[in-house]
Amino acid sequence: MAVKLVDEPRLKVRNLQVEYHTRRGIVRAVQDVSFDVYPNEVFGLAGESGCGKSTIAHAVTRILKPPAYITGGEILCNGTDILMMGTETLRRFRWEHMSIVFQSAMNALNPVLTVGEQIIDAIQAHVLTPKKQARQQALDLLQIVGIDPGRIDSYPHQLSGGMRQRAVIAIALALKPELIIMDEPTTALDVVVQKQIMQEIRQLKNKFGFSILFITHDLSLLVEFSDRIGIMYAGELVEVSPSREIFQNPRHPYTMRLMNSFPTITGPRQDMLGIPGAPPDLVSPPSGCRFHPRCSVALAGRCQEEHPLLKTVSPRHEVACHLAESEAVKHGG
Amino acid sequence: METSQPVSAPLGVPQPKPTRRVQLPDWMNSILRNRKASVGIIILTFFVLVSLFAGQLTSINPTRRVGRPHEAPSAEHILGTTRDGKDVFSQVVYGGRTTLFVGFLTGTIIIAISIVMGLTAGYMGGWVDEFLSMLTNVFLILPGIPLVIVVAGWLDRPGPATVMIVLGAISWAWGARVLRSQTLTLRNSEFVAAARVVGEPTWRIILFEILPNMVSLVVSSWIGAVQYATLALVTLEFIGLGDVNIVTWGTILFWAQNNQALLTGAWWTFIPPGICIAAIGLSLTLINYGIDEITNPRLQRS
Amino acid sequence: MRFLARRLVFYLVALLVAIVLNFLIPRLMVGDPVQLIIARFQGRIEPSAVDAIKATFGFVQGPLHEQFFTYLSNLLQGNFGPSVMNYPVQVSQVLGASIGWTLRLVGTATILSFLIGTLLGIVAAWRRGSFVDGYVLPFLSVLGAFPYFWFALMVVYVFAFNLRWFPMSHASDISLRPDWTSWPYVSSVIEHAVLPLMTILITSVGGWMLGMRNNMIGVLSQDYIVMAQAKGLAERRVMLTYAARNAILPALTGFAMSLGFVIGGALVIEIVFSYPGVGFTLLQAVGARDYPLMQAIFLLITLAVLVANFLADVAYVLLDPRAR
Repeated sequence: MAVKLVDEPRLKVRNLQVEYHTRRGIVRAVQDVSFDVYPNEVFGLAGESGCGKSTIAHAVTRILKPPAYITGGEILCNGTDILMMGTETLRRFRWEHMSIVFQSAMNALNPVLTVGEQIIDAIQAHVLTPKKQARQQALDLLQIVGIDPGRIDSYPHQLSGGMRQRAVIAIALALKPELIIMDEPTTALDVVVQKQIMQEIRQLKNKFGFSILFITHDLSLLVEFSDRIGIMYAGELVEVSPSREIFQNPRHPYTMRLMNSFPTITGPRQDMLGIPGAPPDLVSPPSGCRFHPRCSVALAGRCQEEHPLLKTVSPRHEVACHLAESEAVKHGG
Repeated sequence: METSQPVSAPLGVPQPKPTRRVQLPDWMNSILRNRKASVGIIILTFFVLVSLFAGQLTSINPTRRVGRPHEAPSAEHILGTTRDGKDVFSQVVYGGRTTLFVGFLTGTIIIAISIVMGLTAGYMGGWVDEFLSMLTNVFLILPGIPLVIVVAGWLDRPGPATVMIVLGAISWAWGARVLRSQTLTLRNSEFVAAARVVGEPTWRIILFEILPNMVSLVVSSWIGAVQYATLALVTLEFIGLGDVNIVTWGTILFWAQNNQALLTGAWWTFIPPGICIAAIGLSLTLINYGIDEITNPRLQRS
Repeated sequence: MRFLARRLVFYLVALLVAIVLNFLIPRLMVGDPVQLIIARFQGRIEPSAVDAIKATFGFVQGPLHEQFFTYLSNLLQGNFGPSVMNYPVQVSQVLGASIGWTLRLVGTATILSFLIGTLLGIVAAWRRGSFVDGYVLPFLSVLGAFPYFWFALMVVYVFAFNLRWFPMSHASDISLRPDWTSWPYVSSVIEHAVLPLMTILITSVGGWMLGMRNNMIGVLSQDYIVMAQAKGLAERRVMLTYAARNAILPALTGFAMSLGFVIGGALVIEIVFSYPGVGFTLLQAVGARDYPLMQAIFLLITLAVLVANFLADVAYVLLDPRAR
């Protein structure tokens, strides 16, 4: 799990802002979010459904569709801003440098093309490759992700759920990108297959040296597979920390609640549903700290009025909470 | 342990709370707010009003000879006269009344059969469903207009009532298919299961639990049926099947064609009824697009 | 292949239903259909032939099922009896003369209309709010609201009567001898087909277009489209191989279901243009109370619709691996 943080980040997200323009008004789905993903690192992003984590995954790959709009910020991959790319530059950039694995493999695979065709067309869209050679590459990729290469001419409906997800991963690996976005990559699968595939993803990561932006609402997977974790609440990043640290010493009241409602790493699968109250309406979010209406330790005045920013509380550990901050001051003083 | 509470609001979009001024069902409210549907309703209302106040709009009897043959439009006959010297405006006004009435009635007959077939098949399931679905698919694929023409041929100039019944008997399949699949979905819903557990009789469940929950689908199928029936009836009248002495938009066109209106350039005998038919068809299409947009949010423009 | 076999069985059932309807309709009429038929033939044919005609309708001594089997065996032998209005010419010969015109005109028009409508629908969905989506689609939808035959009348009035660009009626210049090897005849056939073809195209293309557009919009929100874009595939490939390939599948089913309606409308267009196909012949048969011809035409149209449906199924199987 040793990650050298001295490297330049592969992905730098700065002050990202995403809005959904709905009939009811503007939903601020992602508000001023910044984070980095380093080489060979798994950065986990977690939070309740609707907190904006999937929106970030889609924003980073620039596949958001109206009514969602990126209204501010920068997304730098290897130093170039993805948001500034023109159509053709973006097309060339995609998949070569950054690929995405979707939640449901059944929906992510084109039902009328064979698995092989879907790998080959990714290769041929970027590298001028003769058909025969591309097919050989596809066979190798299937082998790597643990699918019998003889299934290359199978259609998605002829594969089992686990095999389909492996096929999607094979497509994601096709051009050996430096970064793979995984949006709930194993949610649709049963627990055994899930662990197995995550294990394999980790091995592939170590072998090829790519980074992963891992989106999930499954805490046990998150803590087990991420090197660092970002916790999101109501469109904001409220805590960022190495995963062991956040598990043992969460500092944001929301993170604490999540970790308390979560028995053990090896225990049964636990979704982040065990928090009383509903997430706020993002058309008109609460004033001050967005979590204060659901927070049991909120300070009457400050938390209702003043919006907390991410502050470093200990090395590599950032929290956006007035209480954690004052504690930090206390510790420091 | 805290009580776990499912949180599933997608991206912070809670259910909108509509503010109502008039007490209308929600779906009616949204139809009136939809632009396409409103335009359709306005056009349709116009024709209904014209039909209702036909006597006030014109004092000329549409079946009486009131002028010379093929008079061009003038102050006296604003849409001119037919080859027989009958007033075209009065024919279009009164003909619309008959066409609309017969069209709506036939559409209603069609949808009534569709409801019976679709709901029975969807709710009963088993071999009843197998059989009715097979029948539905057969009637869906048989060419309707030629079949009616053949039946009308045997009947030797059938009256409007006969044509309506024949058309109803062979045109129900489309609606039945749509309503069946919706019934299948509703049959497995919780409130129907609850009603079954309580021991409500099947006919009560179908009439009071399932039917009220597919009102918008029934309405849009009904509108589709009216549109189909109107077009089919006009077509049959145009080719001279049925009673050609009744004044309808279809028979006006039949006489225009038979009296060589095209060759004499008497455009006023065939353009107005055609535009009226199209306007009715368009208004019904618009209303259905509107309903479709409301119930299928994906088609909405952001 | 099991899918195709199942469909084939279904079409046979549908054909059987059409035959049964044909058999039952005259028997459900008030009055005696046998007398009706004989009355129509009175004085035109020798009495000995009347029995043969009655047999083609299954009006033989015996119970209903025996009558039906007599009827069915006559049908299977292609024996529809003589045509009343063209006596002593056989119905099969009358059909032979008219079916070609209809297949060429209505067949071409329907296929063209489906192809053009589907293409326009793809473009409209791919570029929501563009000219094609915002103007062409509503315009064609408005045209689709007009009755086919009325549009035919207007086309005749404007392009044949006023502008004299095209002939008003018939399938070819009647002064020319039918000869497919002579250019004057062929060009006259083409000239006569332009207006009816345009009419069918213009009134039916909007329906296909709207259907395909809505299918496409449904498909475009699928993950595999987003993934194809994220893969950096060229726009054309995403639009055609990923979106349209999938969106056309329900359109093929829609094609099958709307075909009967379109063909019904197209037959009426033949009537306006006095185009000597089966639609025009059907109307003449009804006018002349030519029952043998009437029923044969209905069966023929049904058969054509079923065959077209089967072809659509074959296309479906070729395009969708899940149906194989």
